[in-house]
Amino acid sequence: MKKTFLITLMTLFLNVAMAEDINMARAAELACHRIERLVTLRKIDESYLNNFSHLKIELLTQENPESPRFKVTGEQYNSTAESAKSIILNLNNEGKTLGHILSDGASEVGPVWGTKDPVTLMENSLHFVIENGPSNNEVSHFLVDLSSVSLLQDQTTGQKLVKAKMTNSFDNKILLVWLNIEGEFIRYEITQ
Amino acid sequence: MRLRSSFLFLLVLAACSYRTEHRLEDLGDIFVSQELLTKISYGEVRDVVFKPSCIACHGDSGNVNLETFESTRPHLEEIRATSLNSRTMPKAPFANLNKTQLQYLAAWYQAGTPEFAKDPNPPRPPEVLKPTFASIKANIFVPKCIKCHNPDGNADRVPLETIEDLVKSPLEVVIPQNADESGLILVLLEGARGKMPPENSGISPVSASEIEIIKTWINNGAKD
Repeated sequence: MKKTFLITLMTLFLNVAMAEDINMARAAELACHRIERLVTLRKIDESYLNNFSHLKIELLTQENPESPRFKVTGEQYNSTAESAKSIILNLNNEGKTLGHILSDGASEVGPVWGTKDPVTLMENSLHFVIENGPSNNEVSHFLVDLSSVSLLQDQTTGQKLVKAKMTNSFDNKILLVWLNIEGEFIRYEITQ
Repeated sequence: MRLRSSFLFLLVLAACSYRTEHRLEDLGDIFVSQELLTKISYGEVRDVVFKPSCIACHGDSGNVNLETFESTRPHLEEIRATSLNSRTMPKAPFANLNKTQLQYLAAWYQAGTPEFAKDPNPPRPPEVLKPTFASIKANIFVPKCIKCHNPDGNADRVPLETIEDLVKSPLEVVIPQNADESGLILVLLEGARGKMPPENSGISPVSASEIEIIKTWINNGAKD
């Protein structure tokens, strides 16, 4: 009886452990890749790539291993109070996209970047978190508990830079990641 | 008179011998066996040296092309100078030629850069690209992709070493039976976003006929 109980407990633990194969930052990065792919395949229009501005990510409670684990919302640039034109992607626990829903809303041409589109720039900012999260305690909260990423343009140094602003659901801290216009990492800062 | 002729003959022989030794000194510590000298040919050098270490950049992209004997012939001096003497080729990120590759190249030059071997056995025909993973890996991924797309490379997020790497990737690198939507094909096409190999890498693009073979493999189920 005791043995059966222990086996059941272990099976349950393994199921839970295996349910989260990837972390939030990786899921967000894979969602960015999926948006690019959908544009390449002409399944969604190019504004989802060129006017991309903001990403939200939520962890879902899985009903079964095939059901979605992550919900990622990619929003287009929008300076009005209206809700933005967006795409919702559902990903499984391995990060594969199970489906997408398009939501109409306001969309504007966002900041002009360089040769790299804003989705690629956001991906590159997430690479910083994916690569450094495992070894940097402060950054790790953005790896595991990432909740949003916004892409901003910073010209305070007289040079056009990418500033990715990330939030997490663990604390109120904000991670700022600066990249050059080619998407190469420059520096990061964590603020309250 | 006879003694003088013999002396002259010996002097000529010594000079020949000196030239051979000098050539070996030029090539540092490379020693070539007699057996290799008889079997060496362009085909051997292509398979052992050019394909794994050179053709990624020196393919049909327009400059020095080492894919055929005819296209290689005008560049024999440059190849010798840069790959055997100064050893400045291949350039990073490609590894230096290993000892076996240097021996093959040195033997080829010592044999007079023949297209076919002195050995009476027929030359090995060039391997034809087939729609199998092993063939695609050997002929395309190894020379053009895996230098970066491996677990320790710059593109470690997208390894291309095993079928599982391709088929199980959340990036949908290969979708069995759906080549048109597989990421691998999409990045190889002309004008692709994030085209591979990167245009500034110097690596020759994957040709249209090679892409067709990869597509056939994917559409056949991408199994082996």
